[in-house]
This record gives sequence, structure tokens and C-alpha cells, in this order.
Amino acid sequence: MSEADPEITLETYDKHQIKIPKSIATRSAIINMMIEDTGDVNEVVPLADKSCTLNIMNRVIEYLKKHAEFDNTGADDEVINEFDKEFQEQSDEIIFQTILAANFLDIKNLLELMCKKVADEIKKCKTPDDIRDRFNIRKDYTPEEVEEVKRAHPWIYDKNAK
Amino acid sequence: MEGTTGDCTSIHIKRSSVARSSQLRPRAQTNSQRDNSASGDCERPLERLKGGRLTCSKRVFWLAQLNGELLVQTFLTLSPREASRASQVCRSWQQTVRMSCRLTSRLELGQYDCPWRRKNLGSLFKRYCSLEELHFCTEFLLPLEAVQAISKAFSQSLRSFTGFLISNCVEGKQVAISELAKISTLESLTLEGTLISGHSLVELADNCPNLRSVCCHEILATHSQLAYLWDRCPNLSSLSGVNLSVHNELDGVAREPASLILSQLSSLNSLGLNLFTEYDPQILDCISKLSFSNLTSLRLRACTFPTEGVLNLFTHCTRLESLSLVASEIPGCADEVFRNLSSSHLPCLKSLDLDEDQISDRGLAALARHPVAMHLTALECLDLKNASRSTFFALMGSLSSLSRLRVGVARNTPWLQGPSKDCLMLPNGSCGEFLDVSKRTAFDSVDNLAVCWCDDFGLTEVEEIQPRCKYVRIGQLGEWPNLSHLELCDWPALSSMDAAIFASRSRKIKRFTLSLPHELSSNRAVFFVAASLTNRFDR
Repeated sequence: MSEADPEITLETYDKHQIKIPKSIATRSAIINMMIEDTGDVNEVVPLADKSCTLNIMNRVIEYLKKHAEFDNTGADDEVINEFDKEFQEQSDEIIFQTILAANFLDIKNLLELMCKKVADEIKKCKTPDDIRDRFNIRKDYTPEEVEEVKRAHPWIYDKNAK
Repeated sequence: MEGTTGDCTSIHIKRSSVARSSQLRPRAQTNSQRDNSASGDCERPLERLKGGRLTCSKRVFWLAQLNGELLVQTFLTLSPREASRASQVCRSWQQTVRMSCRLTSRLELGQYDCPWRRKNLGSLFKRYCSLEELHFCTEFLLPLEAVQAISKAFSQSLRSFTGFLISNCVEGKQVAISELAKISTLESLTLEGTLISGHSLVELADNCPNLRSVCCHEILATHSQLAYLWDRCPNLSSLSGVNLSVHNELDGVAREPASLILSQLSSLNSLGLNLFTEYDPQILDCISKLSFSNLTSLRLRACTFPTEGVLNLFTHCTRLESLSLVASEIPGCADEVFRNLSSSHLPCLKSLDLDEDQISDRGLAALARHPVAMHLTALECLDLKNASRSTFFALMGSLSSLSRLRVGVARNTPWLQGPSKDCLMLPNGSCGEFLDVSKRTAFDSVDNLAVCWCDDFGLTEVEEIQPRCKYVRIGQLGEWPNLSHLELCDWPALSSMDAAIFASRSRKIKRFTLSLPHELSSNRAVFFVAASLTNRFDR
């Protein structure tokens, strides 16, 4: 196993080194590309994005390892969903940084998972005002523009329109 | 209106942001190495005054910094209604929502997302212009004009469609399905409740060569028409609703042996058969003997098979994950099957549908004891009139993986129509979806079956009860003694009477959030609840 699956050394943005099996590392399309570019598995792979700190990378690697295990063992969807759900439950900061890291590292599943978490936060808000409060966004619409946006989907505001 | 009394009671109406904002992690230290210029539209972290109170200081709204393609990605999973809400937030979100709508490839539409008129759907589809999958997730009939709007908008792109259509003919041309057949790219067609005539099947075969799956209530096609479909659509792997006694339904169709039809279908991995009025023991043998070992999904509707035949079939179809025994004509047919099921049968079964089957108390008890109960994630029983309360709850206790339960109740099931302490709950509350009461007309008189999410067996939390669950009355919620959180969304008709019952019985309510339509009566009810709760805690 170890011959076929050598260890790759990643250097995080805050200059820590992490060793992980190649089979895990290459689940990130971008790391895979970098390894293929150098052709040398012993070369340290630098992660140049600000989001890729030791803390976040440990979480990303936890996710990759767990999903590699799920793939190998053919785990039930329920087990996977349970892990994913727990993985989503993080502070806003970690969610945000994980999204950036997943985007940078090109890990599609993880990006979708975390974006879905943010979407769920939006779904919890019942009005545009709630969303602005939750995300701290300034309303830059004029009252006329609000009316115009509403007019674009009249039935959504008028329950009796149907 | 917002009121907070006592140490643990708060009532939020329309606005629950205060409760939620506590989930945000305050930022402990200033961020020196990160520049927060990601989004120009969002305020920098700063102190904000809300409702005259200083609510936060030094908090970073991390999620507000998402922008560009990451925000598009985030919006992709919003429903049309949620997307529209998001587009009202600010200008940049509006543009991003528009972009994400354009990129959305899969859309689910419920009854309340959009009126199913040509005009409304047309404008909706203009925004969602690159859909590949469109699913109408309701049991309500799609009008012809909606189908026309769909085929007009997506004739070259839609791959998968789900909906409910009705044609008033069982033979010849069916207008709605002819419209659908114009979508030449269709691969998966799910028309639950719909009958497809032989003529329509040929039309589909002619125009949609990529079809992989056709699922409908019934296909009334002759052997030669099915053969034509088979010939034209080589990728077909799933077909359900095949009626094996067409000659009984249509005039001028000669009797065809079921084995002839079945022999064509042998490479399917999902098969649904309908056999009305007639019993042909060969059929089960055919399924067992033909190379149906790939079968993962089997639906036998209105089939009257002997128990041994069914058990023999289970021995051969070891991969079966989904089984539906619907509308058996012999009462207790499924019953016998379950009572004789050995532990090696159905090792992979995850979904069981006993829709309209007359399963008895003993049958349910046998199912509860069988190992298969451990793995079942979905169960549908639409007729429980022979089941006793204790057996049913014993069954619930052994279905430890269940995440979806759908139960309809016949009128004469007193134990389910009594007070709501008999309400059904998923044993596996944490991942439980909800109980969906059948909307079929036969069950319209059932108005007091509860629909809920719950923790453990003691209900502690009900969130967001949608108005579509018309069977819940808020007064009944009051009878759940452990209820601590309740969130009602767009509650259609909250009466003062219900509110009073609720308020008097919900002893442990800590948070109550309500967003309401504007009717005066509703507001009165809310004030009633609010007043009752505050009074009690003040005292």
C-alpha cells in the first residue's frame, strides 16, 4: 500500500507542513495537477491561498480521508449524510474559510457541501430583512427598485394571485 | 411585535434574527493578515444599532464576504421563492441570483412556488433557461397549458421530468403526453398517477430515443407497441406500470401471454407490473427464470399472486432494494408473505410500499420482527384499518433506520383519529423527514393527524410547519407536553380557539416564532397566544 501510495508533503499558507497519502491529496484536483507537474512526490507542495491555514487544512483533510474511506467501504448514504451534516456545523468563519479552501483546491463535493450550508442559512430567513440582518448587508435599493424587483415575481408576494 | 419575558420565554413574530444571531461567533481578535475587501456591497464589520439596542460589536460577518462564483454556487440550491427573496436583499445579490438561475440545471417546483399558468411558468422558465431536470413535487394535476409551457421552453434540453398529468382517454392520442413527447432530449419520465396509452408510448418512442426510464401509473400498450419502444430506446432500464392484461382493458386487442411481454423486458433493473382482474401464475415464474436478477426495484400492482410464488421470487431477486405490493386483490396477500418471510429474504430492501394493501395486524407484527425492518429507510402504508395501535408502535420501534414514513388512514381507524397523543412520530427523529398524510380524497376526512419533526419519542421541537400540511391544528400541538420550540410559517387559518388550547397546554414552550399572513383573525389569535404565554410566566 505504502509503495503505491507515497506520502505527499503539503505546506500550508501559515508555513506548517502536513504529510498525507497521495491517494488523499489527489482528491484535490489542484494538488493532483501540481504533483503531476513536478512529477516528484517528494517535492513539498505549497498551498498559496490565504484560506489554506493549518487549522482549515486539517479539517479539509479530515473530510477527504473520511470520504475516501466511505468510497472504499461503500458506506451507506445515511452514514455519509450524518458525517456531512456534522461537518457543516461550524462557526461562520470556518464555513467561510473552508469554502475558499475547497474552491482553491478544487474539491467539488466539499465546496457544494459548505455552500449548501450557507444556502440553508439563507433559507432560514423568512424575509429579505432577515437575510440582511443575518449577513449584515446594507440595503442599496431605492423603494422604486424594490417595487420593480417585486413586480418581477408578483405571485410570490401575493398569495391570492394563484 | 417582539416581546421577551421571564428568563426563558421569548416570542418572536416575523423576526427571529435575534435568536439566530447568537449562533454567530464573536470575533475575538482583530484580523491583521486578512483583507476584508472581498465584497464591496457588504458593510464592514461595525457596530450596528438594531431596534434601539446595541446588538453587537466587533463581529465579523464572514458569510457576507462570499461573492462572485461562490455566491452563485450557494444560490444554486435555493427554490424560486427563496431565490426571489434573496434577490431583494441588495443589487449585487440580485445580479448573482439572476446568474445562478441561469446556471441552475435542476429545479423542483411545489404547488406554492409558482402558479401553473402558461404566462407565469413562461416567465419563470425564462429565468431558469438551462434546466435539464424539472420536477413537480406535488400530487396536484398539471394543466395542459403548463405542459405546453414546459415543452415550448425546453424542447431541446430537458432530460428528466416529473409531474402528474391526466388524459381522459385510454386509447389513442393523449394531448398532454404528445406535448411532452416534443421534448426530444428526455431520458427520464416520471408520471405518477398517469396512464399512458399505446399510441402515446409509440409517440414517445419515436421522438425520445434517449429514454432510460418511464415510470407511470399504467401503460396500456400491446406487445408490439412495447417491442417498438424497446427497439427505439436501447437505453431503457426502468419501466413501470406495464399492464399485462391489456386485452381486458381495450377492445380488439388479442390476448397475449405475459411471458411474451416479459421476455422483452428482461434487461431492466426496475420493473413495475400491473395485472388487473386476472391471475397468471406463469408471471412470477417468468420473472424468476428470466435474467431479472438485476432487478433492484419491483412494483406489483393489483396482482394476485400466491405466497409461495412471491417468496420464490424473493429468493431470485436478491438485489431488490425497493418493493411495492400495491392493491392486491386478495385481502391479506402481503400479510401471508410477511409471515412466511425467512431471514435470508430481501437482504437489501430499503424501501417498502404497502400502498392500499390490506395488511393485517399479524402481518405488521411479522414485519416488525423480521431483520429487514432494521434497514428499512422508507415505508409507506396507506391503509392501516386492520392494524392495532400497539402493533403499529412496535413496528415504529423496530424500524431504526427509518427516515421517511408516509401513512394514510382509513376513516375507521379510531386509534389514529383520537386525540393527538396518538400522533405518529419517527423513531429516528434526528434524520426524520416528516409524516406525509395522503391527500387522496378517500382520506379527506382525516383532519387531525399530526405532521411533525421530533426528537426521540418525546416531541420537543417543531419547526416550520408549512401550510400545505393542512391536517395539523395548532390546538393539538398544545397536547405535546415537551414542546419547547415552535416555528410556524405562513399559517393559513389560525383560529383563536386553537390558539387558546395551544397556549393553555404548552407548558414548556421557550421559543415561539410565527410568520403570518395578514388576516385580522390570525393576528388576534397570535395576540392571544402571546398574551397567554406572557401571563403565565409573569405569574
